[in-house]
Amino acid sequence: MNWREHLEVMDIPLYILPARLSGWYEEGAWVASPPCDIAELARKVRGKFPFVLQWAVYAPPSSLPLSEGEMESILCALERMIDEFLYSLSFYEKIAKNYRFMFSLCLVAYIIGLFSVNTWWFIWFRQPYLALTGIDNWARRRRFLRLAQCRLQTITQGQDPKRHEALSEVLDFFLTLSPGDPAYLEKIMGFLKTKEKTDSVFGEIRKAYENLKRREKDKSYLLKRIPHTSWTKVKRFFLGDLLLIPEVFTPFLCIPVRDLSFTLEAVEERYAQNRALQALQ
Amino acid sequence: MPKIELYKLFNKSGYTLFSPRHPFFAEERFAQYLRAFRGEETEIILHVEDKGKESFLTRLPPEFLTVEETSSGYAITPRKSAREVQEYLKNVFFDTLRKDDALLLEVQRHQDLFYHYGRFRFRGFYSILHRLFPILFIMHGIPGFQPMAWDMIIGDPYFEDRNFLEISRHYQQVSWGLESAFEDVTLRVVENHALRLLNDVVRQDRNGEGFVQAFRLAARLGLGFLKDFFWPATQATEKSEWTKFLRPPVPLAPWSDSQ
Repeated sequence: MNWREHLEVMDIPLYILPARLSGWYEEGAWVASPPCDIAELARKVRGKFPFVLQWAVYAPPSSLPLSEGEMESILCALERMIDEFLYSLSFYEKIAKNYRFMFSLCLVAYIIGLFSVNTWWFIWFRQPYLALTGIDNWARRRRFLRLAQCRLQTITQGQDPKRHEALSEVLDFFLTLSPGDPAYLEKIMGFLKTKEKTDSVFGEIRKAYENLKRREKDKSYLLKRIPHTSWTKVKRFFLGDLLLIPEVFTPFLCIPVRDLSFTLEAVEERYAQNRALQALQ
Repeated sequence: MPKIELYKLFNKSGYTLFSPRHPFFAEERFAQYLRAFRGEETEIILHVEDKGKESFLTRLPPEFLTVEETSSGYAITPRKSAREVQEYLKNVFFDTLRKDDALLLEVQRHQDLFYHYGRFRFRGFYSILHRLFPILFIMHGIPGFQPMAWDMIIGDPYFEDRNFLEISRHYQQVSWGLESAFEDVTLRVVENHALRLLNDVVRQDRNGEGFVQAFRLAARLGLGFLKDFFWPATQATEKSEWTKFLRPPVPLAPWSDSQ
């Protein structure tokens, strides 16, 4: 970090949301999510580089609040997510740029052919699709590259009492839902929509939940990465030269965190109940 | 700043350091090494249960330093010199995280370079004949074929070679970053409540199945990646689900000589 350059601090709230994640590595965990997706985040930092990204954590009240290590691991996960995204975009762009440049020669050939000879139709056998190589990643890279101007990311406890209160209300509502409810996200969103009219903080929390909902609805990483349908194969053929330039997927800024309502005592009780049941049998 | 997270896990007989990392999607680590290449210093974040206990002398591993409590204070006997301890730690990282990533990096580099290595350059005597192939069309009354031919002969190999060079330069930078990432390292110790809960569960070792219980709780505590440690641990040391395959051996003959 260069201490002489003026760094603007971007304060982004990060909500710890009660949820029930279901992946292999996150079963039953809650989620940490900002009230914006990565595209909005990139839009927010427009014209503000270089900058420091400061995540302010807001969590519902708990008997065992998030420790320093857990906050640090959330920060690491966010940093890694953004870094990997920018890294892949720049790497594939290096190759795609060459392919697109290859088309410029092809274009010259077309023009020469058009103006010079009568039998020029052969040159259409050149590869016109090279013009489109990696154009989707190119557009994405233009939008997100300003995130690379981030010099440092930090994480702190949020200081706004309104947001803490709003989250405790959300937790109260979450605890009224039955634990096996498959539509719990929709119910929370409904609750937040009604609350949003009185307080805009609930609107922010709803946006953070929307992030999570988008992630839950999305296909698995492997299914997205491997072009397994004919349509994706055709699309990837035209956008990348025969799958050499894969699509770079935009990350959802959702990090699994500890279930803050969880205590070991509840588990102990369950064990005691099980033992009692076994004794009865 | 490139960061390496380490978790100090209780493994019933002592402690193990575990680093969360995907076994084959290594892009996120390559991105970190590229940062190291640009001169950023690596930070190792050690997650422990209790910071206060960690700083206590008697918690140090006895092969480095023996600490005994005497009536007047502590008797400290160093077993290794500072240099040896440094070498030991360096080897630990070289044999685990660094070696693993260096292998993945080589594999990835060769996979990516394979498609671009001389893709439009056909080597050998016959390549000359093949390169002159468009001449046939040009000489037989289709001069419009010329621009296409020059593209194929000059343009394509040129840009493909540039691709090859771009990719090899990129991976060269990542591997330099990999080398420098483990040179200058700062250590930060942080306290993790979720880790303490999990270690307590293993320590309690209810029914001799501490690992499997920690395995079940890990994801809910936000440490789902520790499943990769607890699952092999429970299968190797506790009641395993694979024991159902352990059958008494089938005799080769219905009677044996000893009978």
